[in-house]
Amino acid sequence: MPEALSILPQVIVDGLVVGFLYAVVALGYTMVYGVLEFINFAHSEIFMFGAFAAFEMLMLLQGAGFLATLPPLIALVATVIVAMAVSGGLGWTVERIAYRPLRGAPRLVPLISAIGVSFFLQDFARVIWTAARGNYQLTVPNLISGTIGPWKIGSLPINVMIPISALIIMVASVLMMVGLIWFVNRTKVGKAMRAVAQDRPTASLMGINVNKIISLTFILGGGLGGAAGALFAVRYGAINPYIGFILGMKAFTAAVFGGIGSLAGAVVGGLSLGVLEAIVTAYLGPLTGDILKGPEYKDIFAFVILILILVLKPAGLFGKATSEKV
Amino acid sequence: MTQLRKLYSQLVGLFQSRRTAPAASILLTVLTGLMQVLVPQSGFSILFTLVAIYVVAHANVHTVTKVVLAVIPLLVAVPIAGRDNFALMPLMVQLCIYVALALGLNLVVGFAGLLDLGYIAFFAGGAYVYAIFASGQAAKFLPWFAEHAPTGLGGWWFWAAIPIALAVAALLGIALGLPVLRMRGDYLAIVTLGFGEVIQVISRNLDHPLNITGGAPGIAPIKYPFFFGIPAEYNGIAVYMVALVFATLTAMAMMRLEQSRLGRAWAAMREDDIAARAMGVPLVKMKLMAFATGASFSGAMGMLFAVKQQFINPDTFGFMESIGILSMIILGGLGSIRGVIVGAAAVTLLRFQFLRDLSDLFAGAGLPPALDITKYQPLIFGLILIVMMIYRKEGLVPATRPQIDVDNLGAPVPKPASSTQGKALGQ
Amino acid sequence: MKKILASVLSATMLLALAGCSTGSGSKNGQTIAVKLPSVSPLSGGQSTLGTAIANGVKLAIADKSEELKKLGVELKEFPQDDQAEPTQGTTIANRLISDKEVFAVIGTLNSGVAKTIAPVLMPEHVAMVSPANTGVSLTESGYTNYNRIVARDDFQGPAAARATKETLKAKSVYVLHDKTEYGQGLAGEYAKEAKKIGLDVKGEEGLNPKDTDFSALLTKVLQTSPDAIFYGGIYDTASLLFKQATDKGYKGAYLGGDGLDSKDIVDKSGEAANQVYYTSVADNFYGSAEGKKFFDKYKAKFNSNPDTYALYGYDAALVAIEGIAKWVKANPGKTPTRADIEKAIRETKDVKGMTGTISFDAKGDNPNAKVYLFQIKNKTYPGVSVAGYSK
Repeated sequence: MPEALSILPQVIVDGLVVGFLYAVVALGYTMVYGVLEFINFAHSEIFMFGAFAAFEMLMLLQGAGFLATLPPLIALVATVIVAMAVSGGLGWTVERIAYRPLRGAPRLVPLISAIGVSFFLQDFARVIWTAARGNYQLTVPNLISGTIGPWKIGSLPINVMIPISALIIMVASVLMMVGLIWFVNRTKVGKAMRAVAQDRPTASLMGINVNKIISLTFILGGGLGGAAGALFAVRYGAINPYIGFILGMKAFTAAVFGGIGSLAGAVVGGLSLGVLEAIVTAYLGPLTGDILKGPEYKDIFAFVILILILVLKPAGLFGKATSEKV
Repeated sequence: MTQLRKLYSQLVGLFQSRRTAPAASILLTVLTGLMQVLVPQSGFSILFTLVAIYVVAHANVHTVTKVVLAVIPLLVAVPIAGRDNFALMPLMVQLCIYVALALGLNLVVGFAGLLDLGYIAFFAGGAYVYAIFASGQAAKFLPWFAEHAPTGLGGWWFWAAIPIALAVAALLGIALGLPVLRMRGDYLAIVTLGFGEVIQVISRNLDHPLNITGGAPGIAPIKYPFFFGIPAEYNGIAVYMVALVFATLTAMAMMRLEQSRLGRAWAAMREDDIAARAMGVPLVKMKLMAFATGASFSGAMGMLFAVKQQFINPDTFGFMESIGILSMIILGGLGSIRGVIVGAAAVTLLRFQFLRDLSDLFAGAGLPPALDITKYQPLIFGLILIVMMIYRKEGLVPATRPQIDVDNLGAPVPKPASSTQGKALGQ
Repeated sequence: MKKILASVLSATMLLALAGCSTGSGSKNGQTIAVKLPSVSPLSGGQSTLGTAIANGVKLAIADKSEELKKLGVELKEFPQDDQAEPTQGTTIANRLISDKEVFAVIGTLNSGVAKTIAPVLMPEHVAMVSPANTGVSLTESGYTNYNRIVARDDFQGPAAARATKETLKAKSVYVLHDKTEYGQGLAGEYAKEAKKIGLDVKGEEGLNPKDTDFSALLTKVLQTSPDAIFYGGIYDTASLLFKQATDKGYKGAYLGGDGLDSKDIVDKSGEAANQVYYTSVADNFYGSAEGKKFFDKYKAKFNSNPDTYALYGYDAALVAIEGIAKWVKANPGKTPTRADIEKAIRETKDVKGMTGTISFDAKGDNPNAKVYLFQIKNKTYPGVSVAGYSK
């Protein structure tokens, strides 16, 4: 079916955009997991607060008239920085209040606490923005619009185009990932972080302030989530307190897919999940004679493939298979 | 404060002393029973009734007395109160369903140590098995039904469906268990979560090409089961009785399972799977057994849920419901049967009674929209979860381990004296 | 043991602070106390819509309470949060029938919740007036207490299909929906009629309304280059979908049902807004003087713009209140039973509401309902009424 194949490049591009978002959010999960071996269930809500912070920042800029005069790129950078700060702070606060007192408790205890935080933050955002703006479903001021392309690939009947806002997500994600990987692998603090991840008591004996490093992890993870939230708000133009849930679930899947705890794994996991979903959306219907419709089953196909990969490689794509010493 | 504590310890003593305990227990049961009948509308009536049962169950009285004192309020006072307070019976059925569900999940998570975030999938399986054939749904894809039973099978189907639902849920449990045998911890969590999603998406989309599950609109109306000779207007009470029996049977099964060879194998696997394997525990078999057994309880409860609701749709079986049940068992005390029961009852009462009471209290007060308490239920629930975890990590009723006296192997030592636990009281 | 008791007791005390029994009504003298509950999601992802319904009901009660006081009826608001969960719906319904002051219920938003509530309320003769359920089956199931003021899917969907052919002059259409009972039901009826009148239906697919990125789906949809895209669902997802389609260069028309009838469809769709058509039973409401008054009143009271569901909530409450008033006027000095009110509401004739004239037929449907096609022009809401369809 050459006609159906002609949309394949566009479908892959569509999937990549979503995949980059998954990847950035997945980094937040994987960082916290790497250090604490704990699923920060509330990360999706920290992401969501980033989006709301970005919204408030853009409203502020708009109110002051800067939005029209400032170059969009500068406004965008300012917005992303504000969102990172808010979400990083929130990540820190959540860790201090809801997770730190539970360190050393059985593993499920902080998980439940995190679920509580997630409930609380979701509803809190709803209550606050309903009070402040009359509605919690917010329309984000338009910052960047327009599309690049369509490019033609040779003489083939193929057109590829990409919205500028989607391109920004891709570029920003790459920058953040590279920055993070550099930070963790090349700086002294990053080294301390890896030490804490590997063996907390020993790291502490080596003079590393474990509490500080854990706090820093949450600030960094939260900051990444916040940046993703801001990019999300700018790209899609509509936010509500529930945007984090599905995205968080997908991102977590992506993190596990790539091997949780591995930064590169989160990136690869996110991108492949995004592309996979896009391909299933577009091609499942034609392949099954419309018995299974792509957009309806894409969520479970992603999971089925995840399960298959985990069955073959139980530690994920990039995870190290650890054999336990007895 | 000291005065209060004194009063409290006197109260406790009242139920612990062999001399006063029977009288105190009977008095408490009668008082709460009276309250239940006289003030049927209040959520406190049912709360006190349940608390009384709990206290009596721990009082220093004969087991037969305990059973009698538990049965009377549940079988007499509650149904009488239910004639005035229509919400009471459905509340109690829901409570029984959640208790049994929580116990079933506790088997997987608490006993065997396998984190399951998609437990509701088995519940959905049981609900759909019953509902499809107890309504007009079956006629939509099976010609035989369209001809012979256009509105579904008769009320007897409930009883026939019990083993089928158990089997279907157990099979689903094995279907989930097989691929995750090699996985641990968080990989397990994500795959079970995905499994829950898969079941929900399938139930939402299996309305084409064949309309099996009814799709998004779901299945309604679902028939009541046939109760031998009981007139139809007592259906509500009959369902309540069945729910009580189901929940009790589940609790008893759990107690037996925990002490059984199987239960001990699970505990060994949970604590250290490598050591367990070294000691000859067949891990693969044990894991599959845990998933299958836990799932089958969920399936039976799903049937009951379909009966109670008379309507099911895919939205009912979402991820949040799985999380809700998980929070019940953690809140109550992971691995502790009593704790899980308390946790399930507490969350159910909170969500379906007290948070509602709270909002109704302010419903007519004309509060400004931002302060409208009717809308704060998830927020309050979230806060309770956090606070509970910070201040009571082990749950309301922590699990206790039977301790083995090495010199006298085989004979479990009586539970640790309450004075050691009492120390934590004032903190 | 002590520890356990301590926790039990402290939990009880905590609850004692929070809870309280629901008071049963006392009818002193001539005043008949009537609670008019609204049942809709007030928390969670659908609470914008649910709150609009609850607010509409509150506004109707505020508007009418003076008039009813003169008749000896004291109206009270009693909003209930169903959290869009059928299980919570059962609980609410059972609590409501236990409350002697409840005669009629306004709700629900979700058909799923309605299906659990209606059978519980029916044996107790508590009437229900739905501001939002469009699923066909609800008034075909023989519920004597269930009424609705909105158009059924099998009326609105075909009307939209005819509009696609006659007004939009489209030859082909791609049908999408959100896999909810509302969206799928509407889209299904639309597609059925569209095929019947000779439109080329290029495809029919459900999407997950919780997603935000529909690019891959749209790539596939736009490859078939349909003249119009029909979406069965609610405006929040619709605006994302339309915006992303326009980003991809789609120039055709977007079409949807009353779920799109909201100011947000304009605010959130960006440039795509000007391609949007939607159908609704409310004819150019905000253009009228009455509509402007309603808008201002609502804004003053709740500090937000009214959603269309606020109008429906208002009208549903209006019908219920008129039913009560009519009975009390006809039977002065008497206290109605629930069955009386149930009957009075079912016999509603020509009540002038915000969205049009409302009557109920024997099944509880509104036979007057007319469906209008609106087109959004110059990115302003509401759209311009371009065609009308009656049954």
